[in-house]
Amino acid sequence: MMDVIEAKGLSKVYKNGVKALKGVSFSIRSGRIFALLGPNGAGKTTTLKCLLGTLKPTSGEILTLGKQPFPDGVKDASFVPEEKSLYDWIKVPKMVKIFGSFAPNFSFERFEKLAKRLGLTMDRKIGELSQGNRTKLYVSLAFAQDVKLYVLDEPTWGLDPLIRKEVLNLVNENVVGGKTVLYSSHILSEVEEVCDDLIILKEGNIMYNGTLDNLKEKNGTNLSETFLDMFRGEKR
Amino acid sequence: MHISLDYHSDVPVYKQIVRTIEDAILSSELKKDDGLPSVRKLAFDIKANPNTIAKAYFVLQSKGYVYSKPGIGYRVASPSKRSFEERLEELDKTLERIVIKMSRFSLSKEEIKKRTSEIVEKVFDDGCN
Repeated sequence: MMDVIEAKGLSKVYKNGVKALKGVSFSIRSGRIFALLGPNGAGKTTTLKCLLGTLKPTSGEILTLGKQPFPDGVKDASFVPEEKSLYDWIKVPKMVKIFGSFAPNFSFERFEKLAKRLGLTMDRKIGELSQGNRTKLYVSLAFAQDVKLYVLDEPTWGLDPLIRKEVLNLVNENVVGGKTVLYSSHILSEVEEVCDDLIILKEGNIMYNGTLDNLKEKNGTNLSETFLDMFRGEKR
Repeated sequence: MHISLDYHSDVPVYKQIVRTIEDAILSSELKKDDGLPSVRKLAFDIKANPNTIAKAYFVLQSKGYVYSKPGIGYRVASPSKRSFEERLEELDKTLERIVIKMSRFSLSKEEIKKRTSEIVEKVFDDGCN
């Protein structure tokens, strides 16, 4: 299986001196659901930004879909960002039109189906949308693109349990065609339902890198227990 | 065959699927040459990750429970006598754990025997075997 992402010795030190990543290495195979886990401040979003080329790593190498992502970005990927803020004064249909005009392989038909399935409120300005509806909008926009890699940062933020399950179903359905999903979340029970492989980050270092099955077989515990053991007694 | 999954169990999901299908085959709920749903279909039906289903089918195939033919898909093989014995041994162990638990409640050997045979009678009388 081809690697969709290869990261070697990835480090990021921000201007304020914060060391967000301290030399992490991992690879993501094509056709897999890969989860990026860790408590707040572990380096999840920094990792995603480096992989997508929106942030320049301080050192280390990354290949995303065979190319260095910085500074040009990754064309054959779509992204649900953690910070779900679009142009607040624009109405949803207008936003979809604008997004669809520049996003690669975007299908309006697909968007409409997704928006209906997730129950997205269309007739509003983006600034008037609830947190849940913003997430629905971003997830619909991302999956309306026919791309090789879907990068989802907290893609169930603010959603009720039924819609949350629908998003997980969407993730599962999308790997059938050999697509790859990179999923970052702090909701372990959710990740446990979908992921094949995972890394757990702690303060910019990798604590676990492997399959979910191996983690369970080796530790004899579920994901939450392993995670809590790893971070027990420390501030989260 | 009903496959129920516990995603938050310490038993990997692929193993839960393998166990359900193995048991359906050993108990003749699934018979030799019966077709199994495709990876895609089963993934969709039980809302699971298709990679997990593919792994479960791979394990079932390597254990000799199913075979696959190009263009036809996965079908039930006739499991060896050994697989049947192995599964029974596992169930024996489960029963053993329960008996050990009972013995810790200061029940006599005779009392435990009486209770377990009552359960056997009840199960067969109710026809839920």
